[in-house]
Amino acid sequence: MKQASLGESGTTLAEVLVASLFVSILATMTVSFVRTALLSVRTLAVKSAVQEEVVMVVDLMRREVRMAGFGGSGRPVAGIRAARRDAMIVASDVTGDGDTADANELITYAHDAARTQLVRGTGGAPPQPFVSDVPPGGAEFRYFAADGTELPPLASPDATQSAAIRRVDVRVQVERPNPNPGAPRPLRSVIRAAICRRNP
Amino acid sequence: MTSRLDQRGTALVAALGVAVMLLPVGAFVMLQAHTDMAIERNLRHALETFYAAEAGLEHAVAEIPPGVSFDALLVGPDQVAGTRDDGRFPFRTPPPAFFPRPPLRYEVEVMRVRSDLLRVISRGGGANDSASTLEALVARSPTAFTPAAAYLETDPRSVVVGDDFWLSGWDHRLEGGVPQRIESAGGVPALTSPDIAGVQVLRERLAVVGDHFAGLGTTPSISTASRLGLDGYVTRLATDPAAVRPTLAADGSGSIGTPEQPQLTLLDDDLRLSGRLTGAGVLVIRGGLHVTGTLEFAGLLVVAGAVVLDPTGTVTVTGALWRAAGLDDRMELRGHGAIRYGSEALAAFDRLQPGRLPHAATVVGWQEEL
Repeated sequence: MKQASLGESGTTLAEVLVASLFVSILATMTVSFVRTALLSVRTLAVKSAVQEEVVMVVDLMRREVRMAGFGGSGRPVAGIRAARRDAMIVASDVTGDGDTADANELITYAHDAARTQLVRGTGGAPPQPFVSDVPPGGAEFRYFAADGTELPPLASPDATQSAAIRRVDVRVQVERPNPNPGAPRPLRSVIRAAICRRNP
Repeated sequence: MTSRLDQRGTALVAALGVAVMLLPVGAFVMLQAHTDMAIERNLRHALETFYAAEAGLEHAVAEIPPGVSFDALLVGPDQVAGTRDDGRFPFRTPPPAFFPRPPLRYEVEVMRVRSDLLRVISRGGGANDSASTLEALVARSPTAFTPAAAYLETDPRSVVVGDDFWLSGWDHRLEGGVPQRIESAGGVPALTSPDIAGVQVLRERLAVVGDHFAGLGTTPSISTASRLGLDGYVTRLATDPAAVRPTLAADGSGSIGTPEQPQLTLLDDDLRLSGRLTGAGVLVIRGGLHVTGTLEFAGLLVVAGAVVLDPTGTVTVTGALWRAAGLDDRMELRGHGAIRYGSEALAAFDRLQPGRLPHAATVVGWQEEL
């Protein structure tokens, strides 16, 4: 006699298969979602870091260009010692001793295209890496007179030419590889600033 | 039919599992966003306080009056030396109502670096205790100051100019006794006064003879200027030991200095000139000036009372003319001649007798404290 099935518990094979199918679909979706989310987070972190670096660099340049030419003794010095498209040297006499040989008085910014770096040097010392992943053309300096006329780049302007530069337009671009292998475009941050000199 | 008690499933477990896996991701995104917002907020506050500090610096520098020393600025708003407010900048006017608004604010201090050099320090403050400190080194301009070719301390509405009289704010020098414009040099307005309403009325009234007022600004070159306080200046020059009190002829004729030997000349009464008076340097007339004859002067002419040039008279001033606040504030220039700005004539006297002519304040250094 066939035993009654009442009271039996468990799942049928069909139920198990359907449940497995749903669970695997859900797991795949979850893994994919988490992976995408993690990549997005990593991308966001890199993008944020790149932006902060560029903001910091331009902020420092802004302060130093504004102060270019300051003479602590009341006698202004030639504030722009090099006015190239890819490099700039700014000078100030912070200590007021009449020269620009002390620490942080002569500041060089230059773009090292070969190493894709923006370098910064102080006091005539060899420039040190300041920000990396600056592509060719990623750091540009342009110079303007008081009336807004653009001035030609000069490797070593004399005192008159230096005094004529009243505004420096800076453009800094940093490109860092995207941590997401599916996104071929690098993460880029560009900041432009028009900095007016305050000193004579 | 199965009862609810028999139901078993994995939906809740699966949902919780997914939530647990996503929680760190969400937390990281939130943390990152929060950090970015904090950075942005700090940058904004830093920028705001920088501009608040710079506004304080500009406000202070603009309020440093032309003069020969900075002493009056060092004793604080109460103008008494040795009190607690010494070193605080003595603002004459408050900042405009629209800037800086709380929490933005600025405080300005001054200190002497040398007798000819002042350090002005502006501290800007804002939200979240953000702060920015800027400094300016202020010296006196090497060029003697005049706000215009003609400066009137009081209401300029009474100014009358005849067809043959000119005022020029363009810089001139005397060549063989004849004024010649220095094309390469700058200039000043032809006429200024601190009376804003009076200047407006005068500009409108004299628009038809605008070419008689040449100089900086639009035609006619008439503008407003800060008050110089000529009463005090005249009093100071009157007690100057170098002041010469000449004896002029009855018709006012005489010679009071030459362009090569300019001098400080003081006349304690009205000058009624029907003869010929020539001179150079600084001429202070503590009364009025009434000319029916000829006056030729190179330098600064300071008149405490009315200036009246009759149609028969001639006045040629190469330098500047200042009229102080007097009971009679007429300025009637109906005769011939011109008042021309002449920096060289002023400089010649300034070289020979320094400390008498005021010099404007000029910023020679600017720095930001890091």
